[in-house]
Amino acid sequence: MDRTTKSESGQISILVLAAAIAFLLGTIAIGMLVEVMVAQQRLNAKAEATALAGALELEFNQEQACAVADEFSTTNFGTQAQCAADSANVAILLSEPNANRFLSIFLPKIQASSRAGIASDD
Amino acid sequence: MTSEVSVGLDEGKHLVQRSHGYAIAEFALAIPALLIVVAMSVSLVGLTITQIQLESAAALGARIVGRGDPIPDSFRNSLPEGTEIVIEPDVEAEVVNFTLKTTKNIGLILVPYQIDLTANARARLEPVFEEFG
Repeated sequence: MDRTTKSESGQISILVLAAAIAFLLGTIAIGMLVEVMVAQQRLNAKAEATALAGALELEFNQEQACAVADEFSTTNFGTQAQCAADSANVAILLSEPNANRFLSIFLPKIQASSRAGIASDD
Repeated sequence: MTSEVSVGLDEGKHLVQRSHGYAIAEFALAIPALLIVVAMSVSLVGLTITQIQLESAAALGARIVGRGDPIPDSFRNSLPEGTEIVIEPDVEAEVVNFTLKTTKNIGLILVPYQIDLTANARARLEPVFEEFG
């Protein structure tokens, strides 16, 4: 009887199963990162729109620039904006809770800032 | 001294089961499954790129419409093929709602599957000043 015979049966199945699980876990991790990236992109766009909405008031109604920006953000995006305005610029900071449950442990909030102002004549 | 390698029931010999080559056969069977998983990952990356592209384009489109400018051809050409543009101005609220919709095919050759991607952006409508003179 051949006692040195080594069975290869099942070796590759285990290897492939491990590789498939690793790939799936990697895909899930990438998917979660993607979710946060898209949320960040959306928040950036919201911050830009809010800053521009506030900047429209700078020329003739500077005192109300931040109030208008905050109202625009609250009405259209449901997010309260932190605002700072001077005679030429409006700076906006928006923050939202991270929608991804797992990544919110490490990154509880996502933030986006934007600045808009009156274009110079140059 | 020569030894005869054989498989089967000869006189007084037990059946010898040989398992060499199983690994190659299993690998050949498992490759398609592994390829499907890899294809899913690659599709996810493709979806991500398209979604981020749409989000960025929607913000830009809302800004263009908010300023009162027409959508330029260069903007339309930069969108993924078959993208639908929906513009909804709300004059009372002084905002414009700009939506981009597209369909992306992520299925494999035998299993076609399409997924709808949507991106939405809003911008304040800027007042249009008529030029004097």
